[in-house]
Amino acid sequence: MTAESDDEACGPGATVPLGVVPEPSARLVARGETPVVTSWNQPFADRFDPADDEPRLRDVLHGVTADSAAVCSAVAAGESVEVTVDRPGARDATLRVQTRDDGDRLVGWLFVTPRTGPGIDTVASTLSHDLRNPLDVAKAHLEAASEGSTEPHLGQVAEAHDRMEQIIRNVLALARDEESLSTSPDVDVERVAREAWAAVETGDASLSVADPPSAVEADPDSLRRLFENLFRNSVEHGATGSRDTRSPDDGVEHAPTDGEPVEIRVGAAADGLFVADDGAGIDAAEHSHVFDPGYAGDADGTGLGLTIVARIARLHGWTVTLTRDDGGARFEFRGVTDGRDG
Amino acid sequence: MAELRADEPSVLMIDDEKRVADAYALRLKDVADVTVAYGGEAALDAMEAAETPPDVALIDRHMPGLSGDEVLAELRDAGLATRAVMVTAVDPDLAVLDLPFDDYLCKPVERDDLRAVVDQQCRVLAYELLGEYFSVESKRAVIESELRPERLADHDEFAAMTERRARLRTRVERLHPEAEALFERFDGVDREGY
Repeated sequence: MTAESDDEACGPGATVPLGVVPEPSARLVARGETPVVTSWNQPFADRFDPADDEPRLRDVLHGVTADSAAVCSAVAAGESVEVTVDRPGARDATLRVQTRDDGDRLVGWLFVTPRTGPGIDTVASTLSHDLRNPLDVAKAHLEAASEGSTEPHLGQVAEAHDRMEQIIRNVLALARDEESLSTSPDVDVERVAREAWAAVETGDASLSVADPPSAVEADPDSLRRLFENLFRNSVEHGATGSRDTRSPDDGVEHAPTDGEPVEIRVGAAADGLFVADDGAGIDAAEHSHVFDPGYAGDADGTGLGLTIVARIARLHGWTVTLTRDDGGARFEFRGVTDGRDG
Repeated sequence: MAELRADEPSVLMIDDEKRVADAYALRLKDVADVTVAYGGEAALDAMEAAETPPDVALIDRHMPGLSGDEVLAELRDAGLATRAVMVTAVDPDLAVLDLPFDDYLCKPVERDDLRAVVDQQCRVLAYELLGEYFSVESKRAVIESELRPERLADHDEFAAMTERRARLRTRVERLHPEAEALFERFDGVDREGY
């Protein structure tokens, strides 16, 4: 069987030839209990490099997703499934298999679609919400400056503008896709972390970088933004933020009771790196929500900071987990390619 | 109709973002006595500590901890004579049908609009308090005219009513520039008959 079988209809509706589908797509049939791929388009061939004319689905998916056996069993049973593609190089994508029982045989279609970030409506809503506050602050101080002394009002206007710029940068970071990453094989983690620290208002907080991976494969700009957002989260919610009146179950990192400045650590974790602080942490029940866009109490007030952290991690093919570390918050990134190995 | 402008109405600005709360206070400082509360809990503390409730509360909705909607509910439950204006970046939806606010401003807000809303709410509050004052004062006056002073001297309920009347009168005088003329007209009515 060849690639680009334009005569093969694609999808349960059987209306679109495989050849015109821009994303990797293929057609399946069940040979007995075994789903096999019978035709595919060029993007599929480029990505999966099928070994023979009618490869088993299981062989195609081997190494593409950890769930390949489960996917094959589900397809053989006539189910439609959706899993994350976790093969390096095929990051940030979703694999869907749809099936249809044709009576005497089971047929199916496989699609790989890029996984998108938060929906445009979510981002637009968050953006419009979050720009309004600094806009109001800037307007108020401009009015005051125009009627009297410019001090300290112009400084406040500049600060509000910085905040708006930060919000815009974060939204742009969120909108980036895998192709826009400019990955280098040996990014100096400590240097990038310290650059990020210098770009954040850290107050009395301190940073300690202890034996992180010396070099990792990453997009340096994105890694810096990842650090910036994590540092901001720790600094503003770990100890010195104005939100120290939150109830204990609000899912936001709570100020330490002793009022001490927060200490943030960057170091090596198994198969990756971590960023942790000694703040009061985030309640475990909230861990699954903190990366959601618009999550209340996000450090920069945009509600996007931790969403961007998760997005950048995913674009790199890393996983991010949030745990408690000695009471504080610990963000751990795994699947990071050590530059020394390359 | 003569323009009504309150004499330094008291405003409580509630927003968890310090810079935002301070910016709103800055916009109102020439026309109101503004207190700021950087969060819902701080707002309740401020209202509890105040001798007189604020004339107007400007309440951000999207706050961690105690939200603006919860602050509004607490304010209403306490029965405070405070006009409540939601000032928020949260776009309203059908849920606002159940919120007992008096006005709703979507950020960003122009300074003139902010001041106009505070002024409008003070105008409404002045008449509300005036009506309450007339109610209390009519009772107090009729009782005082019928009963001997010595009988009222140790009457706790009458004393509380008299105190309430004084507080209402002071507040109306602060909020309504024509308060004295209105009081005189009210006092000029013969309620005692023969």
